[in-house]
Amino acid sequence: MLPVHLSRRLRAGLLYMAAAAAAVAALVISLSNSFLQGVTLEQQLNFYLPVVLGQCLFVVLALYTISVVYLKPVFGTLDLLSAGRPVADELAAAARRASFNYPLDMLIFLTLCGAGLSLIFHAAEWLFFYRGNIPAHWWVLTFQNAAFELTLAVSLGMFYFAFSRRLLREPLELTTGLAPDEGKRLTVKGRLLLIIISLFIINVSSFFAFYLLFPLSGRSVPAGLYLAYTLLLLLYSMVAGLAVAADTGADILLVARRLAEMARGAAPGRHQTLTVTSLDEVGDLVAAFNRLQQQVARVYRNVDRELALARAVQKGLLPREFPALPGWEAAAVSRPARQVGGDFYDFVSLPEGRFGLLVGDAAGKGMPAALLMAAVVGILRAEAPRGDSPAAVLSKVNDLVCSVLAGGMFVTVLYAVFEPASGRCTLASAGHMSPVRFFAGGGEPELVTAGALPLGLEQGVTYRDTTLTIPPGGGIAFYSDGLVEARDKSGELFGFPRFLRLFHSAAATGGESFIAMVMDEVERFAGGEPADDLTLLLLRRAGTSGGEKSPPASGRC
Amino acid sequence: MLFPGYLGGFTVGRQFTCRVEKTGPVRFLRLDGEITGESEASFKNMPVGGAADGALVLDFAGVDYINSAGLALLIGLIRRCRQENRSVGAINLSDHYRKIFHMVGLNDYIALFESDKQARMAFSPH
Repeated sequence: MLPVHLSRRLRAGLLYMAAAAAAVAALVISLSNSFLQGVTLEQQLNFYLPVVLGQCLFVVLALYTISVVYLKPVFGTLDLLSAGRPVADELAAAARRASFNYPLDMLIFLTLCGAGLSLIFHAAEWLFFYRGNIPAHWWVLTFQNAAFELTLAVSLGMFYFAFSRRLLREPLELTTGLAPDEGKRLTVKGRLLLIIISLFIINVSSFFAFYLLFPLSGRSVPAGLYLAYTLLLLLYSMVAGLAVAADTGADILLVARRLAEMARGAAPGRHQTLTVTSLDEVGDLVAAFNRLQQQVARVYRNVDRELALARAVQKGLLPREFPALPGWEAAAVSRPARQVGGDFYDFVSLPEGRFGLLVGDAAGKGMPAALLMAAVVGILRAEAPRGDSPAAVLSKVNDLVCSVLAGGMFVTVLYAVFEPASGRCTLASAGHMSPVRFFAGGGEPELVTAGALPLGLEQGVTYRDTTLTIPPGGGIAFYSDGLVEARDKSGELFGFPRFLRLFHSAAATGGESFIAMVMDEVERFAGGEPADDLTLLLLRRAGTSGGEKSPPASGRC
Repeated sequence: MLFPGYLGGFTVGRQFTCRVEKTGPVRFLRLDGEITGESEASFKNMPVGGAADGALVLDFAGVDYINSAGLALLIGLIRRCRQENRSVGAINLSDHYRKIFHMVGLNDYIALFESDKQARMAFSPH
């Protein structure tokens, strides 16, 4: 819900701006009359001040009334938005158009007013004081005054332009997306040109007055007054220049702030519209950025669709379920961190009742890792069933992979061959995480030491076979580094000690339940979605040891 | 000398930097931050030196995290040193990464030490 005083604040802002513009104009004209034109105090009190103040009061009332009428759709829109009610398209479009047009229309209006009032003032002056007796240099003086007043009106109009844009940025932000960005344009270049020319003429005409008119009227240039007036002009020029520059700067800063907010909460594929608050070069930039973002969002949606397809293909590469392994239970889960991942596992049927299990991790995440993983799975499926020892299979696959992999890419693979009857396991690792052997009856889970270079880094690597026995009731777990290297918010690693402790209950828990428990534990530790793929494959041997209940001999993944 | 790592996108990890110290015949690289794929540019520009610079010792005291892409960078660096017949050592490696180094076969290529002094003594010509 928006604050209810939005439109009241806008009204107050408009009144304040009109009063400030009129007060500045009154002050400058009165000072100029007193100190430059030589108007006496009596003349000021009898004629000039009442006329100037009357004109300025009229300006305040006229400006405020015109503004309120002009911005009626904006007030209506703000009231509806504050009340949380929907805004009709036509009203939103009118409000947006009025918000864009108001500053420029008021600039034109104020300039015309300045010109008109200057004309009235000098005509009145001529009528009251000089009719039939025009003093020497009156025309020159009047021309100088008119130029000064007109450009003063333009520079005050530029102030008004800048401050009214500041007031209307909020309505423009609030109505972004409700209606098109249409209206009159005043480019940054145009604004700078206007203020520079105005300030130039104000300054030149002032010096003209000092250097020509004082000597022409037989007076000497008052040094103190000249210095004070110069400083005043310098101050005015600086403030006017700053106001115009800050006005453009505010649009750029607003865009920068919005971009920073978007970057902090960046969600690829989500389109967020930046607010267009000016119809100038900055507005063009924002509009172009919004169009680009829409295109990028479209591309992201297409990529997402393709990734979803790739994930389906990748899922198809992993075994849907393990075959029945009498006396053994196998279960596995692989959760990619992105839509596709680099982790994989596989089951290999071997002669003489033996079977093999493969677990691997292609370095990296996303599409490159997934492609690498698919290629390596294909090669392993061709090589593993030949019946060679795990170390020989890995050496052969390594040589094949080395010949095609680009520098820096690698795959870690662990290949284990089991003899179901004896529980004997022969495994070799190519840089993969050491498996965990766990026992029934409270035995300490242990890392099976195995280490060698990953596949794809160096030709001719010789891998070593490690042989161990899985005791009845015990088992072995293969996993990817995503599990032990998950990090919590403080950056602490899940680590091996914490991971191994979980395996105290592995022998007594069903395979799928145990895997789910480990995954949940790691995800809870990481505080949400894991940064890396998580894969865990568990193989348990049926039987009891030390009174432990043996797991059922079945297999699913 | 500081070599700030490249933080692409919106990475929240600590930026990788490296400080070099030459002590006698041993060049120490004091690594700091995370070694990941995002630190590739600064990692590859590390002042590793050449064959004439003697043994290289990587100090992991300031390293919080090494992911698989970071391991690939380390393996690449160590292999480059081996091609130049330079010895490579590591100090202040956590237990976790000692295990990981062993699993990925890095222990065959890199000597692990407990301190600067031990590394200097091992690599100093007798």
